[in-house]
Amino acid sequence: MSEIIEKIIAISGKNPYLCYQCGMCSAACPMAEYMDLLPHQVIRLVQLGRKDIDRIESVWMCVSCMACVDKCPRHVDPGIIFEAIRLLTLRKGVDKADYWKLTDLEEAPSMALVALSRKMTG
Amino acid sequence: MILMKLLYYPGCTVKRNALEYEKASIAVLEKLGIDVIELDKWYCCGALYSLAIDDLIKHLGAVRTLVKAQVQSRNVGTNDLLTICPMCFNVLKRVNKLLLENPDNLETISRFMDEEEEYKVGVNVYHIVEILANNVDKIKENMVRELNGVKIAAYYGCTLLRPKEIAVDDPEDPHIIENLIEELGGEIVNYPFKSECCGSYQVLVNRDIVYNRSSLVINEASRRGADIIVTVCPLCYYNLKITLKNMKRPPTVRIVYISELLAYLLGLDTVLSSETKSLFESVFSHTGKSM
Amino acid sequence: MSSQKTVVESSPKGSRTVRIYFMGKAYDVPEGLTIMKALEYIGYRFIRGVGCRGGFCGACAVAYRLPGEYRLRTALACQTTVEDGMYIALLPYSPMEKPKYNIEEMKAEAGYILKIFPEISRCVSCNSCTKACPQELEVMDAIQSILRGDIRKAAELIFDCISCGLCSIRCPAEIRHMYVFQLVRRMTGKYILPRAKHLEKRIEEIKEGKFDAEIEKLMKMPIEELKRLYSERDIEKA
Repeated sequence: MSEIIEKIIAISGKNPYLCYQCGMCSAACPMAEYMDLLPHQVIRLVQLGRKDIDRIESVWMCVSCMACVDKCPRHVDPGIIFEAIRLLTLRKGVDKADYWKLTDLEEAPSMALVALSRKMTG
Repeated sequence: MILMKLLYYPGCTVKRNALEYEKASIAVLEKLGIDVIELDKWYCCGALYSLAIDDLIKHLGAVRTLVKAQVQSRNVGTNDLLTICPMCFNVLKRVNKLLLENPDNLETISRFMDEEEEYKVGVNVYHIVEILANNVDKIKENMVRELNGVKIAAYYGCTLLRPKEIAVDDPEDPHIIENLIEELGGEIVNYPFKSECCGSYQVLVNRDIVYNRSSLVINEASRRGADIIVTVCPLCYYNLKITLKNMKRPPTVRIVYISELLAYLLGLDTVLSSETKSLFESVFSHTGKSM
Repeated sequence: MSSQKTVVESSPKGSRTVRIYFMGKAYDVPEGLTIMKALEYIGYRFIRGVGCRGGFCGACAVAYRLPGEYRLRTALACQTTVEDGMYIALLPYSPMEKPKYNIEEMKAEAGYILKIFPEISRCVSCNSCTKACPQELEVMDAIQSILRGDIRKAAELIFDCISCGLCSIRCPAEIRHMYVFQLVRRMTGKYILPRAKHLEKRIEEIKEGKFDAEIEKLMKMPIEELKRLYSERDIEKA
């Protein structure tokens, strides 16, 4: 197992090898249409030990709605594995959201900005 | 007569963007004999529960709040903590569960936060929907207005129902709000998108995502005849409202908080804004059927 | 800071000394000195990171550790007495660019603050800021108050902030407290607090020339006369 996959497992506490590619997560995901790789496809890449997994852009579209976690029949929980993949980048102090490009900061509820900061800034 | 006491955790958003939700919620609960006591000190929960199992820092805001609730629970005489924002509910309840199942994590956090007392994992976290569902009879007793055939769709959003471990009802097909409305004599509109994500924080990054997601909810509820969509979340409320405003030919359906609807039914007009009050008046009069 | 002469490694006969560590060297300095005075005693001359020497300007922020302790402590050098075994590092400022904004175009609402300082939403309530503050202010509570939209409360909590930057240095969310608090105080003063009516009245009176004659008279007075007026002025008895 490559180091990066070990790290993903250590951060998430989940086992990507349980996934049997049923595709329920991708069907349930509200952000799937905005992702270039669907959730179950990303998990497949994790299983295959893809070394540049931290450069997959799909993981950044996730809004942690937990629909995939709810539906997954084998408790692979892609949403949680995605968080681990994101953290590989965020823990290097890299931000994936540009605060200066955000709109509507004056009016939108605080929870939106706080959620975005937790998700996308490192 | 006070039947029940609840400590109350508002969360940042309620105090800044959704005071009307708070006002209506507290008024409704107090009418039902429930004393709502805001925590003296509380902290931002962080909105999204941190899913990493190898670090604990993102849980601190929630744990500090639970400690403050613990302290206050001794004076007030209740360990029950009310939230009205479902993101806060989600985070607090999951943190509670994490600490209960992982005493090591609790110990590490307690050592770090050595200026606070140790959290004993004794606070119970509730969302207002659960409290309302348990007090239907009291609501019925105190109603001064009838639902009069107004068709109501419930929009739950994500964080109240997922993950299953903390959900207030079945994530696939929740009924807790619909049951409440039906008990009060209302007509509910069932539709498949009631727990689909509204788009969440994408409203700050890419509003089109919110418009797409939220219009699924609005259009389907409206197509099935809903006059009102009740929400329980300030972010869902905001996203649905801006989507409605952005539509070229918006349907006539209106978005309100569940507490605002109940406040109207209980005759607590003073806590409603004049805009909300006239919204209800127009919806209720147009659908008036003789009961 | 420059070192002008060789480091003094002994102190005047008869005085009690404490051992301090600075820049990788050990020094014995007379007890009872402040950190700032102790560093000057051993031969360093402050040309930066020094100001009022009275605990008010926030220029002389330092970090230090004491023997047998893991805690990283922060303080003002001019206000803190040296202790035996103290390991000192200077932190004269926390780097941050001053944001440009027009207070006239804002309201006293959290949205405007979050627009300039969105990192406030990253606060995890770790309390590192409060622990670092040499003025013992409730920094975490102030930041949390802003998130909640309670600008006035935030302003009240950090009224005595001296902008030393120690909180910002310790903050894992990298919040720029110094300028956040400056904006909070400005918003509160401009939009929330009631106006000082007696001040406005006095300004009107000045504009109307009520005091012109008196000022003219004083300006033309000989110095001896002015001195006499000053020493014979009304003083309220204690």
